[in-house]
Amino acid sequence: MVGWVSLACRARLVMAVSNPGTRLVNRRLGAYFGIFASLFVAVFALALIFSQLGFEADVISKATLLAPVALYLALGAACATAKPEDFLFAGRRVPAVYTGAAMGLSALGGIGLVSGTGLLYLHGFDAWAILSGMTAGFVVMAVLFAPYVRKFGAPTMPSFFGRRLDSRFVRLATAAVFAVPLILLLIAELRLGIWVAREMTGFNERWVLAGLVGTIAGCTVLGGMRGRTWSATAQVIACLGGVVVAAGVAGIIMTNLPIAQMSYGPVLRGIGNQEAALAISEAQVAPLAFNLAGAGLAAPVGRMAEPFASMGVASFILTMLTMMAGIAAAPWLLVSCGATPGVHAARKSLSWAVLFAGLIMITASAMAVFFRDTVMTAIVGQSAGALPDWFNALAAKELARVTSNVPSLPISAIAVHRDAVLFALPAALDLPEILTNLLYAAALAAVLAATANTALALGLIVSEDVIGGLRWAPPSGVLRLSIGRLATLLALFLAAAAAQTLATDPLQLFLWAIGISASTAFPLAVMCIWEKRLTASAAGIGLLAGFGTAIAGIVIGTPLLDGMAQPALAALGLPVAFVVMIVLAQISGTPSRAAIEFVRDMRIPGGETIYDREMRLLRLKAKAESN
Amino acid sequence: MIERSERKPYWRHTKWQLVASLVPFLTALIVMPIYGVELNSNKFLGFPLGFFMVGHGMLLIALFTVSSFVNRQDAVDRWHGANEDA
Repeated sequence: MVGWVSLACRARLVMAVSNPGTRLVNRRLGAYFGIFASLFVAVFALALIFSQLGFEADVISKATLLAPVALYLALGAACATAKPEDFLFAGRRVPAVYTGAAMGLSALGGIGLVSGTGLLYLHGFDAWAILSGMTAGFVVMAVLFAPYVRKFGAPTMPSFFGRRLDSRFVRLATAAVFAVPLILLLIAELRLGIWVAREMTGFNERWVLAGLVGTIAGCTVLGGMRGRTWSATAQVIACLGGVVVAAGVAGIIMTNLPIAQMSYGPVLRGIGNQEAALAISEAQVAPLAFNLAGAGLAAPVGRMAEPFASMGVASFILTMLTMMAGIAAAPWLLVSCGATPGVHAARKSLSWAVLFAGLIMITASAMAVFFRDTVMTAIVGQSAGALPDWFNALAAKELARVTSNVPSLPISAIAVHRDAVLFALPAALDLPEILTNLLYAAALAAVLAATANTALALGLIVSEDVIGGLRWAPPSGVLRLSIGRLATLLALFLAAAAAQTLATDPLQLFLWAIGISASTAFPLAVMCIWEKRLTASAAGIGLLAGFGTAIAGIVIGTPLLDGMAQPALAALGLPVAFVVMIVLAQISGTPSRAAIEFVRDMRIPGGETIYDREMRLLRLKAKAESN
Repeated sequence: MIERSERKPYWRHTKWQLVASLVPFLTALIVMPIYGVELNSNKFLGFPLGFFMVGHGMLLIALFTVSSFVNRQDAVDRWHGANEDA
């Protein structure tokens, strides 16, 4: 009997190794994450009980911050590994649903959730340019890039481009160029994370930053991609659970239905009727105008459901397309495809990414609408001396202000901090404070998922493509992992130092990062996969032209064209890079036979992962030489 | 494993699949916001239709596009013998 079982296990193992589509997936994953979800619920249920028993709110806030963080750290520690295939690709055993969930939350990040809700409250319809553009990015990623990046299976995107074009120059150039959006994104998420954790607990900024860096390091340095993927899955559960529960409770109060995402329509139309009664302007701004609120106090602009009050029609479409291109080819997201068991799973993971990111977005939109309705009914038309307590509490923390002393306040006189909208809703609806803590925990989970993903992507680019970029054969397993861990730590510390000193709006940094990604990674990825005749020189020059134009757009264009479509300014490099690559590909001769064979192999889903095969052959060659 | 003679037809078929997936999606992505004001005069599930389409609608269209792409591309892979199990 034992013999039969052993034989069956061996047969299954051989099948899994020979067929990448059926790699062994841990069947207990559901149970593990069920346990995490139960613990997360238990923490907040206990916090609710203790708050009803009269425990100090401050203690409960700190406990609800620290308990989930301890769980993420425990997961990160449990995923510690000394195997390169686990550190770089999570063993290529992550099912599509988990990859998609982690990718969706990493793309959205704290900025998509926290600033996105604020933008939806302040600008209504116009804010969808950013959020819907992100969803569209996943669609384009699934169709244009994900299957081919997975078939190659490189640990970083510069490795993919360098090997595809058989050029170490391209590998180093892409590593240098991609580091810029990665650093911007890392700083942006860390700045938002500091703000969220400080608002939640009142801890000193240095302690908060040290805690964030320690948590991210714990989730990435020990386990690499494995630790990052599994801790991000737990963060998806925390984030989705937090926003869905808070929105559900708010939905019951506002619409009598717990499915706030689908039931807030009548509330939105009610806001429209109030806006019409108050004669709020329906005017549209110039086609290229772009007046989204920065990090600070701002009043809503125009009518909530009507388009183009703060962003012109051309600006709206350009912003959406920029977001789409930037997310579709994002070097920090595409590498996650390498963790899936095969090409089919990589494609499928993008369906899950759309679902998870989209669910969070429409939940955020429901909360923005509920908050706007509360402001319209409780504050608009009142005098400055008769404001509700929750608004005065926000004003005391400098997160809200009334900018007029007229007896009947208009909506344009009620300024709220963009990033405080999400957390202000439970208090505005007179709900228990534990729901505010739940939303803080959700936002922190989103920040941690995005930051860990970006830090690991940057660390691996530095270790694989900069330090080890001059030769294809990687160093020995131990040295390779040590360099990877050190580079990730270094990237985190540098970004933390920059986040402490730079005072730029996180959303602005995020939009620049996406714009640079759209200007550089998108044209290069399209050309590398879909144009067989692309040469290394055409790709390298096109990449640098796109990057230069994007930087010029940001540095020169932003101050000159204040109020214009800023994300699109960073994406000006996209057409430039395409034109340069297409023209140079025509005149720079034919690529090598090896490069053409590589493209042919990459386009076929079946067969062994190219990177794994090349590493195996390199190992065999080294072994033969040593003998 | 795919036959050598099948490689070109497979790639042609894949390119058509790309066009069939992305062209309707991108058209909807660009055209729907332009008609936001006009669509808002109607309602769906209580939402102003323009607002619904640019938020929930785009999400549903994106989900449908990726899911149908995964399904159809899988069929293309199998038809030409390029799938992972072959």
